[in-house]
Amino acid sequence: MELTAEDRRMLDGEEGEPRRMAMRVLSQLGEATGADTTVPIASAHLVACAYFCVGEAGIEIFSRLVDQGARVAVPTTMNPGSVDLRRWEEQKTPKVTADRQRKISELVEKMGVIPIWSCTPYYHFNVPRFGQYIAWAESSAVVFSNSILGARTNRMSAYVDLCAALAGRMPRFGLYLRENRAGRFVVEIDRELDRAFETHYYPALGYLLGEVANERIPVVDGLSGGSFDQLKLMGAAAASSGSVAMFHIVGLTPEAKTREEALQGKEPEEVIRVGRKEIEGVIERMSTFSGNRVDAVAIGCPHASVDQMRYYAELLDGRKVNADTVLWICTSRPAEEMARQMGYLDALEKSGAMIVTETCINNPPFSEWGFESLLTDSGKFAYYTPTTVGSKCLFTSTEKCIEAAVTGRVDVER
Amino acid sequence: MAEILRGKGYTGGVVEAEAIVSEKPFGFWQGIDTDTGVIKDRRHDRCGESIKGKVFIYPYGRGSTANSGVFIEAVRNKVAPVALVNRQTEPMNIVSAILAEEFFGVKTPVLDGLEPDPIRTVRTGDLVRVDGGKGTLEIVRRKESA
Repeated sequence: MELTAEDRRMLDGEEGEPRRMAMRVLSQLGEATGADTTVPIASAHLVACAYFCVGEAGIEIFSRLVDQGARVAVPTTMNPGSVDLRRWEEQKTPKVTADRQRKISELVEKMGVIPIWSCTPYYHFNVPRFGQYIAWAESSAVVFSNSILGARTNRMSAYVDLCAALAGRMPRFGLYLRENRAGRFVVEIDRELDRAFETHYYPALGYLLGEVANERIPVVDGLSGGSFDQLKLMGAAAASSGSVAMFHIVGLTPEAKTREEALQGKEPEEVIRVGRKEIEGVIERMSTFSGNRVDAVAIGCPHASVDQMRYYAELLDGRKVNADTVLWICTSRPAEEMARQMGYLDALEKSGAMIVTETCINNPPFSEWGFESLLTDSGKFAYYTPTTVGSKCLFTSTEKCIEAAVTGRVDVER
Repeated sequence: MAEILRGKGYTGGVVEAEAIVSEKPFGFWQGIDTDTGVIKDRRHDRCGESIKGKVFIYPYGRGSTANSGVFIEAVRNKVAPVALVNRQTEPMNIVSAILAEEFFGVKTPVLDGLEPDPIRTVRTGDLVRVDGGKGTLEIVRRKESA
């Protein structure tokens, strides 16, 4: 890999120890991935900030970097950590976890990272434009920025995200290059299905894409709509059941004005047709739950937008959450603040819902609750909660999730 | 006669240790107990066994972008495997090894594409010598069969 004069200055330690370390890691990554050169990045988003990811090693490494005067070189946001910084006691988080997470928070913020503690940086304070190189971790945010915004990032891993933020540069490989962004296979949506495409079909379709794609880029053809929130749910599911870092939707996403553009003129490796039967099949595969009693309802994955918070409050309509069931709504602190100003938060809290910020239920220690049955409208929660929470999971619509939170029961249609 | 498997080495270092061989892809996040080095992923064929101080041979890495964070925590706690040998490796494993050297001075050879296939050739318990610079794995001594 060819280094620029700026890269060499960093590597020689002329910009301080943190940037020397960062550039040494990035140059070796560049050699290993066959990158031709480095490119400047517009922003970064870190997963190396959750205690349950980086542990005590993270505290040691961040302490050393802060002592050496480390500062990020580009606007950088952070993913959820392992505790809700204000409600951790109510949520049964062990004090030691809360203390260690606070220590990490303090260190990461000293490096100049914007403390949104959210998996949805594209909602606030970190919105890249079309074609920009960025270095984002968090698989659901990676797939969103590549697919919906048309910014370019690879799936960054913990610490490499921080190295990129410190150096402000990345080796150019993978999805930074236009030719690697071509769709490889096509998923055709039946017209009859498209006409009645419900909100929870988006994560179901995403889950199906992940199952068949592995690491290939899918092209969805025949889907005529999709809001930011719906596409967010779709991408998060695709990045959970598979390693999907990008998808195209013909006529909707910026690099897919036509099917030919999405495929960059090549023939698709396969064409898969998806109708109502296929969608219902995947919804069944997403669930491991067969009873009627509901211990927990978990929504807001990825973190809920203000508009989703409004919708939850409307569906609850003043009713109380069942005494034997918990309703958890995961969101970011900025979205929570807006929802508070607009009155939605008050309505949700009065119903007995637990608002979860700065973290989510995929970050242990929510396994401490011992839930046996969990309902969600998120394909990502459906994929991970059997491991992270240890519960059986039923994937269904937002409307049914809220109903079940009120009644404590669900009828499984099978 | 020593058997030598040859492929590509991505990170340097020479280690000699016992091998643990798996048929299944593996991810460190939710995959390893970082206090003990024991595999905790219930879907994994080596669940319950320790990879601490061993040459870990498996087809390829899977899962989360948090993997490298968990690997580094295992290195700090001295329970990480000492070499990673895959059929086909990925940037995340290479990065984990680069970071382990940068942060804790621990060299972890990462190799792939070895011929013949190490998953078919090496058996759990064999003593092997891995050279990341040369991209080789040598079977030093076969595990004595019971």
